[in-house]
Amino acid sequence: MGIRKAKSKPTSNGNRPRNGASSSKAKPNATNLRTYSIPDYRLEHPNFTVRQRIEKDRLGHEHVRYEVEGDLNAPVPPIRDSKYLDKKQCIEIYRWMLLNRKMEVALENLYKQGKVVGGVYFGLGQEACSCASAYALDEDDWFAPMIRNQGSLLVRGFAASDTMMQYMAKADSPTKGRDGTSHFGDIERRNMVSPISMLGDLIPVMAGVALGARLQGRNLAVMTYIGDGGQSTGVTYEGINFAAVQNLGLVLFVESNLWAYSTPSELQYRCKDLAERAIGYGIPGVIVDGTDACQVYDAAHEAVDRAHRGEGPTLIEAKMMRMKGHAIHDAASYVPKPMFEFWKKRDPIARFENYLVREKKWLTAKENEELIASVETEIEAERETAVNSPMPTPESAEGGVYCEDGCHEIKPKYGAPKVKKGTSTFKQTEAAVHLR
Amino acid sequence: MQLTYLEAIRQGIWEEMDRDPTVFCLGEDIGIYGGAFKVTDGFIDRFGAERVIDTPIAESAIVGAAFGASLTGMRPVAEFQFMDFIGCAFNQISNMVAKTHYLWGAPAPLVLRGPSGGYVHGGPFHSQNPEMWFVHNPGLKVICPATPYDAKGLIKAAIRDNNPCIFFEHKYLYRRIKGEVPAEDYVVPIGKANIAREGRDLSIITYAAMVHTALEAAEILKNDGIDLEILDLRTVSPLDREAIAQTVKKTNKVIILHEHSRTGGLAGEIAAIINEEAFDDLDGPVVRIAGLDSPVPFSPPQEHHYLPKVEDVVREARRLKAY
Amino acid sequence: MPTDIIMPQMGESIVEGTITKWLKKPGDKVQRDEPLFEISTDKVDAEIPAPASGILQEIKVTEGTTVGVNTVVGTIAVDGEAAKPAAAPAKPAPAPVPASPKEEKKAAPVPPPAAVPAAHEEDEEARSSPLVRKIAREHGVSLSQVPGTGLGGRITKQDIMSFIENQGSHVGTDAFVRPAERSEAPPAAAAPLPRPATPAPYPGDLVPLTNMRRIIAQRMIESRRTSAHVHCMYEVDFTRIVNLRAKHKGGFEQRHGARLTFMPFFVRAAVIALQQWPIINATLEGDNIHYHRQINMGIAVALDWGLIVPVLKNAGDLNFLGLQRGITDLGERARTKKLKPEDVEGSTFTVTNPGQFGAVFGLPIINQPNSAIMGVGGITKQPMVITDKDGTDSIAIRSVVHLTLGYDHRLIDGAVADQFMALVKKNLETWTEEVG
Ligand SMILES: Cc1ncc(C[n+]2csc(CCOP(=O)(O)OP(=O)(O)O)c2C)c(N)n1
Ligand SMILES: [Mg+2]
Repeated sequence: MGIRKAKSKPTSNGNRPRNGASSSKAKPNATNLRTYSIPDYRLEHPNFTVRQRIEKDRLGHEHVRYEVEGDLNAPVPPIRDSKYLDKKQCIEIYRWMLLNRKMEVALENLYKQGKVVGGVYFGLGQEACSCASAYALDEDDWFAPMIRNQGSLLVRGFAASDTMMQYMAKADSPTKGRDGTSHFGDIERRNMVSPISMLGDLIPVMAGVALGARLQGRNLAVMTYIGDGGQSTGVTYEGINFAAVQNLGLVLFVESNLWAYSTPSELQYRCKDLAERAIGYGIPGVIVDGTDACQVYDAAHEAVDRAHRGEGPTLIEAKMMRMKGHAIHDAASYVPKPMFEFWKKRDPIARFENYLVREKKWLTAKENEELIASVETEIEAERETAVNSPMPTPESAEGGVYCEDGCHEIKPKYGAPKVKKGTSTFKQTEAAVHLR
Repeated sequence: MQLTYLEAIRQGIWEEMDRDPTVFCLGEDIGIYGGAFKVTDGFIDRFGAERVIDTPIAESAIVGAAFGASLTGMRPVAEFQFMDFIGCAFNQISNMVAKTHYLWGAPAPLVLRGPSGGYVHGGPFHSQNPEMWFVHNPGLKVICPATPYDAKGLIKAAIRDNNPCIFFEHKYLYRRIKGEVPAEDYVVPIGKANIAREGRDLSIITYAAMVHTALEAAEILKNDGIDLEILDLRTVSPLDREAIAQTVKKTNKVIILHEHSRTGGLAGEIAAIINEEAFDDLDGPVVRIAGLDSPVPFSPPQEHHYLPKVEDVVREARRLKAY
Repeated sequence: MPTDIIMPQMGESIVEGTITKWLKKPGDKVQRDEPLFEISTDKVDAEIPAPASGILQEIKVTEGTTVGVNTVVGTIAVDGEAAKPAAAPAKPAPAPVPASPKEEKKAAPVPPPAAVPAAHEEDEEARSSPLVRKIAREHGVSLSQVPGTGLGGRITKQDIMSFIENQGSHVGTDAFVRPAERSEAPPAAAAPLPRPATPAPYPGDLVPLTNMRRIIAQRMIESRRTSAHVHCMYEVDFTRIVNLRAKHKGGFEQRHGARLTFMPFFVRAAVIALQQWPIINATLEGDNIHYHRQINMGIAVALDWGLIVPVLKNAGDLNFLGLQRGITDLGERARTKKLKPEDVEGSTFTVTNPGQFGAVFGLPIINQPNSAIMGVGGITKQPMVITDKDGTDSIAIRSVVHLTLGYDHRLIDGAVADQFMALVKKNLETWTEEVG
């Protein structure tokens, strides 16, 4: 039994008034309010809302569906000229994007031929974001992909066959069959941290990579990605905040692709743009069109520079849409069709091709065809390699759980950590303690 | 009525939501999509978005919010898309939910459920059997059904239970097994094991998908004249000590079979119970069959090697019989 | 009887020792105190001298093997005994052989029993299991008689069950089995009995041991091995009791329907002394002394077919009449095979009566897990020197009884045993209690 209180009159929302307080009527003092702005490099600002609607079928049964509202007929904006990229670099990025897409097409075929174990994840519609971001990194910088960033892996020097073999669980895959997808890493040459499935967990890890390098006297950029869904995890907050407080060179791409599996971003967060979160962390945040390779690159470039100067993390929100289901098993029937149509017109490769071939005329039609053909040949060869790799032996499941028998030498990668030379000697502490 | 394991769970939750307005579901992609494995397919149409809540990807918040709601007298059923992700909410479960009744007298009548287990080439992050993380957490009940009948009866029991229950659904069984499920309302008591097969020569103590592995092995061993008894634990915390002791007293030889890694696995605990309750009834050493002490590898040959198999049970049963 | 060679306890807290070298081989002649074998323990390494002169008959524990202190490591056929080296020393159980690396990972290998069938190795402890040992105890079966058909000759449940069935074993009251010992007795309970290595070459009948005989044999040897037996003997002037009994015999039987015997006098005298000296009523359990709260008096009853020790529970709470009744009842039920299992378990001290056929005194073996046993010799008339209250000595004819105490020197020192017995003697010589 609770303590009896004098009955107080419920207010309109059914709550009892708080200890006699009256609701505040004072207007907030406008001069106390601060305003922040977030640079937005996009050349268009699509504004849609996805919401749930109850529909009745002929039998009168109710069904909950998603519907989209907003101007879905807006014209496709042009590519924004890059402040930093030259012709050659643009073509290179374009080639990576093509390679990315064609590799995924090959994977889809392999899947359908029963050669893939598990599922296939696609970065369709997000190739600009994966490739142009990774392209902005220096060789010594570190990065960690998420599952859709198969293009980043190519840019960072992994072969298409590496990813293909991962999907096919082959003995020669980077994890020797132990894991699939883009779940692999390389701390020796390519400075890549392997993702795990748990979303957001890479962010503090990358902050730690920057911390370790800084202790060894290097300011490195550490790039990773997080989805509009994955950013809801608590570890995302912890990781970004840690990097912010420690001024670590984290370059975090928030891949706002409107969906997290079947969940629209409306059910994921309340702020207008995820880049606004940067304000709360006290770090720069920018918005780019994730289907525009130049915008992605420029934002990444500036963030990487900041990181190299030791100025701390940057949050880059790349707006785009996931153009397939969550994975190959998912037909994405929950996505309102007009959304696909809208974003199909903003296909990053088609737009970039148009930019290079027709607007800039940096590629002739013939050169473009040759380039596409060369990508196809490359993918063909990679696919051959991957398919011909054997399956691992059962026994290869064993071992390697621990680092032992000198399998790794652990030493500072960038030189001896700088240590403070002090004069005070070790003294037993007399401070009060928390628990005795 | 013949139902799949998945359909039985689905029906169990559905009926509880129908019966009790305090029951509601929350989780990732459980609404319009109906969940990654479609356990809540159609729920949002029937019960509405208020009671079938698509949450942000935030496992800690899901558990915390479920617990909070339970404090107001609700009975939340929270889904993990894969039980592998339950680790993201570990602190909420272990330090918040599990301890609350003991420390400040607040019950936490919630259910945390989701798919676990291997045999589907899910790789190291979609194949785990993390039940032991919770068995070692006083305050939680940990349930791992093996049959459609038990799955439905136990999910209902879990929802009605006044304690936090973690309900592991074996994803390999979801659509692979069918079984008779009565139309009328019933529950299966939590904490009670079940003899899945009566036998006299040797007991296999196991649960979840491994029950079926043991049953298959029993058919093979029958031809050798070895009559297996199979004890399906159904609940791994609290364990049915009596049933364990009883089967040991009956057959005097025991194999404990589980899917997760051997070291620190449930078999160790059960062996200790046998030691405490029925040492003098042993006519041979307690044998463990378990997963390797490594993560679950992705590639099929490796995964096959990692996981316990019918052959393993047959081989070990023959050895133990001859002992 | 051959003399056991035991692993000595080389210092407190030492629980085991390793035989590093045998200095003699079976069949060798040994002199008492001649170095026989070398051991190594946690604390010291030492040369151990032979406990007796004779022929080293058997080596039970081979070099390199570690055994608990007091374990019999070999035997010496004392001079004059027919000695023949026993077949083969016990091998340490071979380490479990992993069947194949592949299997080992999956299941802890069932430790395969000794590769050599144990059946014909008479002196080797039969391999069995907790269950088999339990069944053996319950049915009074010696496992050395049961052929094993399990892996490597292990005795399985089936083996013992069919053995019992075929034997038609009648167990009844003559099970000299005390459940109290089930948990306490070390597994050595099943230790092999010394048996002639070959059947006797002399004509005669070969009669298998009865179960009771076998168990008595086992228990007696086990007790000898377990306790460090010491005996002391007291001469008691019993005249007062003899007179008292003569005076009350008729009336007692009339009033109570029970014969008045000498036994309750001894028991009562012992009870009073035990209350004074609780260490005599204690059990050594590992590193602990278990002081029993109750005095449960074991009373040895000779039967035509053996010997049994029923237990008078809570003897400390019984008055003289209660003691007499209890003793009569137990004796009767023992002779009519009506004892229940609980009647023979839980003793804390034992009284035995070797004098009933005229022995002056006996040196009884402790009834494990007791720490002491009191033997009552024959009551005889003897000339005795008596000192009267004036200090004048004279010779008188008195009834005299000789009481012996067999005690475990591990727990009880001579001074304590002496004082205990002195009190028993005093209680009897100055008896004042009502007989009723
Ligand atoms: C902590 C955690 N919870 C749940 C999941 C299951 N899961 C995998 S991907 C995914 C959706 C991710 O959406 P988003 O972050 O937006 O990335 P996108 O797929 O759109 O690239 C979910 C829920 C997970 N991997 N990790
Ligand atoms: Mg997304």
